[in-house]
Amino acid sequence: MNKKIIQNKILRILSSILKADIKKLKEYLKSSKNINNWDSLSHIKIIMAIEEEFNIKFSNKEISKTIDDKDKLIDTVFKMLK
Amino acid sequence: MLLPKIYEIEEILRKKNKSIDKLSCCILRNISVENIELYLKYYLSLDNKNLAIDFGNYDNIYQDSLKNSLIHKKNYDFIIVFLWLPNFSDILSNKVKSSNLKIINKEIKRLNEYCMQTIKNIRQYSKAPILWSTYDNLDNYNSSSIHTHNLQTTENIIDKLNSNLKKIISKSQEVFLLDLNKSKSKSNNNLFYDKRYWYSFRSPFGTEGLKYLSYEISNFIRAVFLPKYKCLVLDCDNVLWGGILGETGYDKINLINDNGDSEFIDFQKEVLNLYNTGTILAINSKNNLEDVMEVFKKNKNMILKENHFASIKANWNDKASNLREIAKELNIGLNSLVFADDSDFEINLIKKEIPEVKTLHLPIEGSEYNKDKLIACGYFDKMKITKEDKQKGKMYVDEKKRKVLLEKITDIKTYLETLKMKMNIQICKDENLDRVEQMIQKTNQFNLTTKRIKRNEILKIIKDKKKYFTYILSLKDKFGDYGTCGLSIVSKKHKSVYFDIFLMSCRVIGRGVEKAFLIKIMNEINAKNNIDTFYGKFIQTAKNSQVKDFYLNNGFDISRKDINSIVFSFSSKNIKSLKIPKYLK
Repeated sequence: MNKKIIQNKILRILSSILKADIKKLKEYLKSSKNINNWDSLSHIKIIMAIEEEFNIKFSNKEISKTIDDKDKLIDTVFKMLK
Repeated sequence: MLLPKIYEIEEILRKKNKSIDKLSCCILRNISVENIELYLKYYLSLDNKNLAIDFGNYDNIYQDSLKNSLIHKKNYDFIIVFLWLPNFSDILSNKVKSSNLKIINKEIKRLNEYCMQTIKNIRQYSKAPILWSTYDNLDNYNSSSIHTHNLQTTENIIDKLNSNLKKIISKSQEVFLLDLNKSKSKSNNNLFYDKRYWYSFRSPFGTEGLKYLSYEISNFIRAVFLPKYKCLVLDCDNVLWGGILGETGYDKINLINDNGDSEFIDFQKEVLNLYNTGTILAINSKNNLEDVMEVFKKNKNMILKENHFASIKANWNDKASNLREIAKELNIGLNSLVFADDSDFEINLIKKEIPEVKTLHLPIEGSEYNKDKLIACGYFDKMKITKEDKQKGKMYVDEKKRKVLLEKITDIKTYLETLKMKMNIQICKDENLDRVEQMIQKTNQFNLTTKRIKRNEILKIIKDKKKYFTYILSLKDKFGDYGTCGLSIVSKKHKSVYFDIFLMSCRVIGRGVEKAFLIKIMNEINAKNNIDTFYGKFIQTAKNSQVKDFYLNNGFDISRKDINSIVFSFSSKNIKSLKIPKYLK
């Protein structure tokens, strides 16, 4: 799976869970800005949804790391799928 | 469990019509369990229900049961409590082996009192059903499967706590156990809990766990709040027995193997359990009627007998027409039917032709057995079983016998006389509450006002004997007992009397009983009170047009007419003109 497809899938998951526009999400992710609604409750849902979509399992560390650095989420998934 | 993906469910729910029927629920918890919302809402949306969930504060179960809390302020339809043991007691979860018995017992006592007091608090403000989760432990499945009862282990403590919990619940009204351990064993065990979510988010459940719990809870909600499925309509070949009857004959169908049982025998036993708890049975099969009857008469291995079926359609008509006829014959709605068949074709035909009918596909291939599928579907789950439920399957079979008699006697009056009916009218008491609630929630056709009042309100009415008269009717005839089949709630204001609720179970109408019930109530009230006028009301729904003229036909006059309702009145001066049919006196 190439990076573009992975990124688009993740963006779709994020936009549906965070009820946010995909364009805005992209900008926020680039600038590591805080995204509305993205609290720990949404985060667990996002983690569940990504694991379900790509059939992967985050490690304990990756889960807590991606809470702090949300912009690393796409990279983390990409590394796991490599 | 096959469900759409999380983000797909989010999108589906967002598109759903928000105006559909609403249900509200409050979840008290000492864990983070918010993600159950998604799956619960999804399952209920399949039944066209829009579920609104409020979560109590994290780790505030007791506080949230007190005055001025959510429970107190809002009137929820049901309440779920997740009391997660590791978050309540470190000693009972992680230090069992290293603590002395005295400390452990103290903790157990603290937990029991916490539960009892919480339930007591909730009950001060709410009569809604409570689902209480059992105790479990994330480590449970890592330890050895072999254990002894006298060792001081977490498993043994949890067993003890759960049996304590059962005792507490058995003393409380309308509290049900949500068995985590059982739910876990049905799901993929290793995915039910997820320790990563526990350490990162204080949420012990994995995706599988949330799905299974939601599925079970939605079945519970369906059993308590949604119109019940009344009748199971069964195919014969490869459902009731193995093989094709038309090819093998009654004695060669596959029913019993060398061990003396088979999946078909077990399936029939489960169907019999349903019959005995109030499900009506019917047959819809492509076979010759004589052949099917021959199986019932001659095959000794059959668990189900002809007498268990209220309607048998064995013919070569299409199954949709047969289903329509069954519904008509039994006088129940198509949406009360569940149709079970092994054939893809038949199931799809019904889904397309009569979408109101619930289908249950029971293919003969595959590794699952039909008995398990029948139990797992939950369509006939009941949280309470009334006396009427236990007899219901038989009542519909009795009805079939009455019809046979009616066909022999062509004159309806003679027929009604030969039935030798006996009516019994009583003031409603607390012990009738379950049945009264059931009738108020379920009766559609012979229901003049269709007021669906809730349990606590009914209770208030029964108790308020100054303002209300609540009558229940039961009926017997020579074929059997109908049980409690009529209800009327009448309110009195000065010299006027209002029929707020007047309803009859549809299986007894059309034989003058409704007329006699009305007149007897009026005579009774008139004799004991100084009454000027009786008022009856008809509120139109999609299903009750047959009772539109009920009051008019019984001597009432129209006093007011709106778009959807008509008020009728009757002056007590004319009460002597009302005549009860002779055969009902």
